[in-house]
Amino acid sequence: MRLLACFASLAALGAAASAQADLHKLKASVVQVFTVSQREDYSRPWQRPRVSRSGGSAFYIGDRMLMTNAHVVSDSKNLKVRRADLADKFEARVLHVGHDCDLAVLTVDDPAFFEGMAPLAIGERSKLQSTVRTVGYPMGGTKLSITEGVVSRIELRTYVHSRADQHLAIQIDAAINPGNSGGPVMQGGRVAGVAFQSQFFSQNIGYMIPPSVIRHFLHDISDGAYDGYPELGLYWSNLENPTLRDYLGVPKGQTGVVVLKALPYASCVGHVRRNDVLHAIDGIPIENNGKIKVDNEFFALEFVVENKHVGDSVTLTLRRDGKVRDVDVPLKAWKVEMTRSWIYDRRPQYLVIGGYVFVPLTTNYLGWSRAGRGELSYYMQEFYRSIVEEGDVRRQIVILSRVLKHKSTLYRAYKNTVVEKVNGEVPRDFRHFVQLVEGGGDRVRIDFEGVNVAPLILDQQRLREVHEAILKRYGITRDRYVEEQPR
Amino acid sequence: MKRAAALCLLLAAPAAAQDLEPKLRGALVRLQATSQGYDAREPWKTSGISNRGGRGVVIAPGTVLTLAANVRDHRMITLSVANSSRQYEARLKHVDYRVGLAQVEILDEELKARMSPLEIGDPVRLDDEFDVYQLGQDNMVERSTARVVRADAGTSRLSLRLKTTLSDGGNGQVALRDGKIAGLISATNARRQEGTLLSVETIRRYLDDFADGKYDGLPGGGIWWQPLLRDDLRAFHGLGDDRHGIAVTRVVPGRTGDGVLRAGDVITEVDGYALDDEGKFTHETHGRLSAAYLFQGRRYAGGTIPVKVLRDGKELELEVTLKAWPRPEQRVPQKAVDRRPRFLVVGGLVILELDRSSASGVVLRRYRARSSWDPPGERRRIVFVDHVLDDPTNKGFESLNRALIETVNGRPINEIKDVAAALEQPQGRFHVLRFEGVNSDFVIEASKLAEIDRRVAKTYGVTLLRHLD
Repeated sequence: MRLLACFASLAALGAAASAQADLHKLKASVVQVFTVSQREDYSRPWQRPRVSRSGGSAFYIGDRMLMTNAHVVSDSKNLKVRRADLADKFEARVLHVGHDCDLAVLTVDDPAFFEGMAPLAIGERSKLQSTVRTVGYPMGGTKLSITEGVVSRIELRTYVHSRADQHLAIQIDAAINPGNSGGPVMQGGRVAGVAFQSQFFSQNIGYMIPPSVIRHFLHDISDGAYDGYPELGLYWSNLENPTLRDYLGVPKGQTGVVVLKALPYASCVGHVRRNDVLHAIDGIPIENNGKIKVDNEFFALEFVVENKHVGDSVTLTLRRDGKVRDVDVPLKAWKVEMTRSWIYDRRPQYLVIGGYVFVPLTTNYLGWSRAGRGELSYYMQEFYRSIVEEGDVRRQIVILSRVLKHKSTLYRAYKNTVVEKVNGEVPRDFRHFVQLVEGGGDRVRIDFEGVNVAPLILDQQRLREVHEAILKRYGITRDRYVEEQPR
Repeated sequence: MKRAAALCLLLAAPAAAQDLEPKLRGALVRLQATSQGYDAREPWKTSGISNRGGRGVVIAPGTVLTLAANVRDHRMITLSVANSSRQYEARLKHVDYRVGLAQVEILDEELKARMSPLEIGDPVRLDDEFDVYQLGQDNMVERSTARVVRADAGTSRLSLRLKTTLSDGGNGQVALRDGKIAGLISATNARRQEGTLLSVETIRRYLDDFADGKYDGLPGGGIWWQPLLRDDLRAFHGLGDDRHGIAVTRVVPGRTGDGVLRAGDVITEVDGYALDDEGKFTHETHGRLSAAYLFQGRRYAGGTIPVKVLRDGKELELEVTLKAWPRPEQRVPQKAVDRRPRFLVVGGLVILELDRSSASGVVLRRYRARSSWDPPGERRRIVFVDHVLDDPTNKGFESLNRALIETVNGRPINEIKDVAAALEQPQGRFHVLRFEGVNSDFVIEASKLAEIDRRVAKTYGVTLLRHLD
């Protein structure tokens, strides 16, 4: 008993000394980020948006690179960083950004900034109930703040920055406040995570991005470009039902899930098909509820992809027609123009023709226009489904977003209607739509989705006569912004 | 004596009302319907028993005219009359929910003889003022006043918007002018002092339908059209400033206009009325009303009306046959009224037919939004699993809900009866249900199904496992 106590106090002494050294090091490694950004206005896409200021934290990872959150620097027009031990602010710029994993890497061109800075090493995933320290510049203060917390949960979670991606996240019981974002969460002198989001409805619950996601990002950008996570693109169903296992010919004692669909534009299509039974992924057995055991914890089987990159492959052990085989699936990123993710660092596309304003349907638009609650969000859901599940020829949906009032556009009742065809042809994306309209001859007929929506007949001659007047009336400096290349 | 004094107070104003009073007492009726519907999601159960009050008026010996809503899902109807607390049993004679009217038969011979019918009067129009009568809680005659502020033609009935002193709960109060029925009150809003009057035109049309001994009912729709207000559309359809009308965009096969009208036609005149570019016509009494009323609210199913159209620049005079309301053939029908919804419980899966009240969930909504008016074709109904009653044999399917059934044992499902029929022929040892969208097939051992159904019925108290009509 005494021996134990002794040991404990020794450990405490050691901890205190290292904490002092740590603090010194942290002051020279954790910097404050000052962001000037313009959040694009999707309801008035021709307007340059208002400038807003925000802040965050970042930390030095070596090679003149600072790591922070994507959301700290997204839509930014000017970035400055300041060290805790230097008064001066330095101009910074973004090297790489991963909106899906909410991570970004910055650099400062002035070499003076990095003098005497010590890089923080990325550590290992924290254990449940272990203690961590959140380091950063919360709530606009200029002094470094350090708070202690305990790891309370490790799970796959939605990263709110993109609003759509799920990755591993670690929940800690220390509050993470605005300004903390992008700062390191330390454990044993190494980075155990990047503070990035909190829970809206509860205090003192914060989340950090774990080392696996950080390493994934750093590895991804090491070739000079960020590709993002590969996508399995599998719809599967559990095999908890004994009759279903029997029906699919799964021998007693074997577990797995049944494939419902392999999505086009993703990795598994062509390699697996409906009613294949997946027994294992990369050799890890899949339970009947679709979970796999990693480090003694259950995760959804998609977790395997968390540590994979585009171009890697994954091995699926599957049963088809009574035979079990291993299938190597090369992993692809999922490039679908229409996305449910929030879009950053891109200008909204639009076309004003006559008084009619056309835009591509995006999550941002739904959020801005308040149309998200109505029929349009239903269409968004439906088209997203038809694109990701069926491989619709359309990669993007175009809508008539509003009509600017002018004597040539009176009696135009609807707004937010979905374009179905231009002169009988289905536009594949916004660029294609613009091409179809511009090259459509003197009279362009635009048909809309919906049971009984009147078509729009654009008389190019008459439109040309009123076009400039309408733009002038509503202060629209340019009638369009159309991306050159689809992304 | 006391009672007479009270009546004098109520009916003090016009002298004519004094003469009216005995006539009204013989015509006004209070109805009470004890109603009970079915649980929409678990239709083996009934929903709660409720009592619904309403008003009506005697229009012929032994016949009371009232609102359809007053008798909805009824199990029993009783009547009471002025200055009496006695309740009489009555029976539903006829109801048309689309028109919104019903006729109830008085069974008691003595009461039948005692009541004196009121006549149906002339239509009322904008700014007309009249009195509205009802039997109050104590079966005393009450009077309110009303004035017409606008006409309001829906597709299937002509109503008039009122300013009125009536309290909330418009349920068949009688509008009276010159001692004759001027309409029935179908809704009121006391706070805004507003009410809705079901017009004499609609009442007459409904009653006259019985004249030839058979009830034809209202015609249904089927013609899709668009207004032609915009210059670009007018030019597209070749309309000058002197021509007005609406453009047909679609004619539903088998319905009104099929084979006669075409997409692209511009309708300029319907049943003798010229249309404007918004699809309105000018009614001789009520002013501008929607053309939909001409097709669906004014005539009888099976009749024909003349329609003038412009087609390829030429004016054509056509005869359009008004097809009946296609309720039985509609793919996503109105919510079942006065009957138990069709359902089936199989292996704990509660299987229903989609109606317009239950359409939620993306797949179901797609059908509701897009194809509820389509010709039904092969697929007469949308059949879906609403929810699952957990049993060891359906483990893993607990979260299956609102899943649309495509096939059962490889046979396509076009209505709920097909499910029952397909279950007679299992695929080998199993019954296999396949769903639209991304759901796993549901399988169950055919030889054990009866036993499973018995167990589910016992566990959850399912008194009826199927109702297929």
